[in-house]
Order: sequence, then structure tokens, then C-alpha cells
Amino acid sequence: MVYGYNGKILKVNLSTKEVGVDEPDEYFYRTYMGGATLGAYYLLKEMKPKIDAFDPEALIVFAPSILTGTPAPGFARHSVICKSPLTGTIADSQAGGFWGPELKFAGYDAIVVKGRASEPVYLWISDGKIEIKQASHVWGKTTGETQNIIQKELSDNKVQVLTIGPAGEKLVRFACIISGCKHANGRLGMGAVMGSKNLKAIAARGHGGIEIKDREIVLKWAKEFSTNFMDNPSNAGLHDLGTGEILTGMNKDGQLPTRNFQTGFFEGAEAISAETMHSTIFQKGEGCYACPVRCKRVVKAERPYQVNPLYGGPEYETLAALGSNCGVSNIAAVAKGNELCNKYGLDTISTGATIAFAMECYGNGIINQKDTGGVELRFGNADAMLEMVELIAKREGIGDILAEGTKRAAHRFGKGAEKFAIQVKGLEMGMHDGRVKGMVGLGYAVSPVGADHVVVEHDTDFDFNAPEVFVEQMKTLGLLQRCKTSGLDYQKIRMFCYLQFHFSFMDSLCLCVLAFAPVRTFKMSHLTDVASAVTGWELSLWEIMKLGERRVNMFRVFNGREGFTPEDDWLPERFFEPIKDGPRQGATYSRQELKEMRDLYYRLMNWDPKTGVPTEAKLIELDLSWLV
Amino acid sequence: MTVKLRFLGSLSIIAGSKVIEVKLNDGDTVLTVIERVAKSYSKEELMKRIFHKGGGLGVNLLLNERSCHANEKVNDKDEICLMSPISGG
Repeated sequence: MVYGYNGKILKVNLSTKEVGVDEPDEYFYRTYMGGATLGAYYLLKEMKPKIDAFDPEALIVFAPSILTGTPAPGFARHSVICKSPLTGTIADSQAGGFWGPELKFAGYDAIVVKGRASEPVYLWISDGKIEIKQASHVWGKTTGETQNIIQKELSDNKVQVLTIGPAGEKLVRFACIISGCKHANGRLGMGAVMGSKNLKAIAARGHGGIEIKDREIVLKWAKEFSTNFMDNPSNAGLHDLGTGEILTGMNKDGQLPTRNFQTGFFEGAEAISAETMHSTIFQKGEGCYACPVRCKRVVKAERPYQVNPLYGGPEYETLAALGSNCGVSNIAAVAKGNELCNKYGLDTISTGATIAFAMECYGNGIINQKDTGGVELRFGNADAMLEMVELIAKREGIGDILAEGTKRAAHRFGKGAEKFAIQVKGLEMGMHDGRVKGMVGLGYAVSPVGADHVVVEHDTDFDFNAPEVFVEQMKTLGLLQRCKTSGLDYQKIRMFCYLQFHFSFMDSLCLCVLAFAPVRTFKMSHLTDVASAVTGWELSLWEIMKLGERRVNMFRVFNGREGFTPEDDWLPERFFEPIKDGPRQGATYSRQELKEMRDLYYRLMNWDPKTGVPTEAKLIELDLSWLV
Repeated sequence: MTVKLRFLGSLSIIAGSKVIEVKLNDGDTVLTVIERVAKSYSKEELMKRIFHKGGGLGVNLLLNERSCHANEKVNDKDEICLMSPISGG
């Protein structure tokens, strides 16, 4: 008897239509556990180095974890792992919702897909059975239309549908994957990888449960969370206003990315705030499987833009990316942009960042109205922002260039456009300014996937003015001191390493960063209690932290074989320029500081300082000798 | 002499207003101003948000648009902002 997992990993070759099942042993599951680490295992084992992300032989892995689908809040996510067509690095993006648990209920712990179907298909996984079904009739359809059609033809509106939209079919390099019309595996272009394989969707339905070793303990902590989460300062705000809760505070503090990161203060912030959304277009909060926080927003508007509630509502990242970062101060326009991104299957962060990049190019005469098809692409023009979303999704006009992402588009535009591309390794930056939050800046630089904002918990949670409860909860990791907010020092590099392992294991166990310590309700001891109760293993924080370290190192090995070097672990030029105005005016990153701290980070990680790749000793220590 | 106390995010919804004006006493710090308002405020929910039940504040603070510690002294016409923690994710 195994607990927490099914012991079956589905393998599908779309070229040959062959279907198989791996049945790994307990050693495998306890070593890799699921999510990004399990996905990285298959990519490193079964995918040739340096093949194109769109090569039929490239793999894409859909993976919940050994804990997904158990009845505790924060355990509902799934990971998608592949080679990114945007960055050329390994790619890992997480989504919440209901699809991950449903795949587990249907009898599988992950799906490994390779090959390219000769015509559009979707996978139908139901109670242990799998069918490769024809999907020409949904090719070209939006995510909402696709879900509706598939649920109808399967005669079950409880089927969970994970799908791409037209953007993925058109190979937009930052196309995302959407499940339930609103939960996004957003980043790094994995929707385009599905599109390259002619794989439109994966539908899942299961009536089985997940065997749990000690259900009483899991239910006890689930009840504890539900009873107490409103006492947590961060979870309470998430419940009331969603992730957008932080926007006005970030603006007041001068760290809200504005007009392509030129400044951290947006004069129109109030108009695109979660408070304004709440009092105007907000309909209701929704949540993920078994979670009472319900931080997801559902919005509806009639004018000046009609917004369909089917596609949810904007998160903080979207409010900033399509709002302040494009200079747009109309909440209905931002909500419309969110709807279009979810409908067409576009990452809202890269979409907003790419439009902001184009706006700055336009303002500096690098592109003009002839290039934009007559659109006046200036900061603050909401209609222009929405027009660009449409053009990118359909790869029409200038949208065909912007669909390549900022790094490639800058190369196409020339004339010095590179300095306006706010990206690392090709991934557009999350909506947090590393000049203000030093560890976030380092995370952007050294993360194996590029400018990811979810590499570590952010500096502001542990600085000299942060709430005491966060600092107390961090101490379990051996981090006993507060830190300064901006910049880096020895203490912060150590803190960065530990917090990185912490966020990394959450991506391996497919846990929600909005539910767990050090900032949110579930403490580390709750996690080890629940994980042990689910699996029957006596799991410790040590073992789980090593899982996080294992994931980071596997990612670095993947990137190393793809040819990435320390030169790629760097920040865009804008981060070495001071913030122009606002309360954080003057904040900047120093090249010397970044180089010294990056090199120290490599040494702490036991990576070769010349290549940035894990040493033989480190790989052996992490039980990854097969990668030496 | 007065200071402005500004509520951001969900705190403004619970407080029912975005900004209130508070009379300043000699030697007031950010914390003493907040505590005085807390005593006079009837909304228990708001106080639960500001003061974490485990001890200490559960919010981030700005004094005149600059991150500040609760023990900092306040002066006439200052503005204190209370906001939920700025976390990532």
C-alpha cells in the first residue's frame, strides 16, 4: 500500500500514439516527490540536450505532487515543466485550482508527453483510462469555448479541462496554459509547447480518492487553518481583496513598477487598486480545492469595457503589468486585458511587460505609428494596451514581433531597444522592483528560469520594520536576524539560499506560497505533520529542504548542458539606474555588489564559480550522482 | 497639532474610511498614536488586523511615505500609513 500517490506516471507519445505507464518505486517518490522536481527528472533523463523547445522530441510534463488533492488548504497545485521557448532554460510554472487534484483522483501522479500529433488532439483521462481524442473542432477556440465543448461532449460538467488558447496554437513564446478558465500555468511559454505538439487540452475526471495514512491528522490541521487563517496578517488581506491587496501599499512605498520600471510611484494607482476593484466590478471571491482563503477574484463590467466573469479577475501581478507598468489607470481596462489574456491563453506578466516595452520604444522613436498599424502606443493609452493584447494573441501586425517576447523583439527593433527590455534570460520581470527588494533582485538574476518573482519570500517581510510574527516563523529555518530591505550583504545571501530552498520545495510539493510560513498561516511544523500523515513517512524539515535544494541543482544542471553561464545570471541595465522619482527615488543596484554577491552565492551553493554548474560533490550529496 | 492616519488595502474597507485625523500628544510615537486610535475605535476586526494576536503589529507602517518603525516619533502634520504586509507570490 502506498499513501499520497498512485504509483503511476502516464507516458504519451503523440507522434506514435503510444501510451505507457511508469510505476516507480518508493525511493523515486521520496526522492523527487512531484511537481517541478519530478518533471526535471524526466527532462534530464529522457530529453536530448540542446533540442529546440518546439522539437517533437521535447518533453512536457504535467505534475501534481505526492500531497496534491489531500484535504488540506494549499495542497491543490500542479506544475508544468518543459524547456521554455522564451528563454531556452528549463521551465516550471505552477497553477492552482482543481485540475491537479482531479488528475490524482483519476489515478495518475503525472503525465509525460513527447512527440507531435499529426492533427490537433486532446487527452481524456478518466478513472485510470486514457484516450487520445481528435480536437480539430476546438482548435482556434478560446479557453472558455474549449472547456465548454469538451465538457459537453464528455457529458460531464465536472470534468477539469486544462487547455491552451489561440495564443498557444500560434506559438506565442509566452503563451500560457489555463485550467478552469482562470487558473494559469502562466510563465515561460509552455502553452506554445503544447501548441507545437498539436495538443489542445488535457481533460481529467476521477472518482477515486487518495489513500492517506492518517486522515485524522490531516483534517485536524485543515480545520486549524480554516479556523485561524484570518488571524494571519497576510492571509486575511488575501481573503478580503485578493493578491491585489498590496498594490496601494507598494505604491505609497514607491515600489510599484510603473511605465516599464522607470519609477515606483504611479499617480493612477488608486484607480486600479484592489479597493477600487472591490467597490466597482468585483462579483465574488473564489478559491482552489480545499482552501477557505478564496483569494481569487471574479469581476464583471459592462462599460466602458465589457468584462466576462468566466475568466476571473486580475491578480496583483496583472493589475501592475497591464495597469501601472503600462501607465493605464482604468480598472475596467485592466480587467478586460486580464479577460483577453485568460481567454486567448497569454501570460499576463509577460504580456503587460512586453506592451510596456513597446510603449517605451514608441515614446523614444524606435518604433512609430507605421509599425503599430496606426495605434498610438503611448503609456496610459488603455485602448492601445488592449489592442496590443489582441495583436499578440493572433500574431497580427506588430503583435507578431511582440509575441516573440521583449528580448527577441528588442533585437528585431534595434536602435538600442535592448535597454528597454526588462528581462533576464528572456523572461520578463515580475511586478516587483529588485532595486527596492535586494533578494528579489538577486533572485531575478540567478533563478534558473529567468526573472521570476517567486524565488524567495520577499525582503520586506523580514526587514527591520516587518511584523514580528513573520520573523518568528522564519527562525525555524535557522534565520534569526532581520535584514535591510534594499541591497545585499553576507547575511542576506545566507538568507537567500535558505529561503530559496524553501520556495523551491513548495514548487516540488506543489504547495501554495500564499498558505505557508514563513509569512502565511501554516507553520513549518504543520507542513511536516501533514506531509508525514499523508505519506506515512516520517518527513522532517531537513528532508524537505533538501528536496528544494535538489530541484534548484537539477535546474542548474539542465541549464548548464544548454550552454548557460554566469554571464546569464545578470540584471537588465535599468536595474543599475536609480529609480527616477517617488518615495524610493535613487534606489539602485550596483554592478560590483551584484557580481560579488552572485559569486558568493555560487560558493555557498557549492557550484563551480566559472560555469555556475553544481559540482560533482554537491550532486552526490543531493543523491543526484546520476547527473555527474 | 494633528497627524493623519491612512488605511490602505483591506484595512480601509474594515475601517470604513481611508484616512482619519488624530490629535497629537507630546512625545507621541507611531505606536502610541495607533494604540490611542485602537482604544477609541469600536471595530474589533480592525484592531485584530493591526495587532497580531501572537504579539506585535501585523501591519507594515509608513511615516511620510517612508518605511518606519513603530517607535519613531511623530510630528505635527505627519502622515502614518497602515497597510497589509507587502509579500511576494
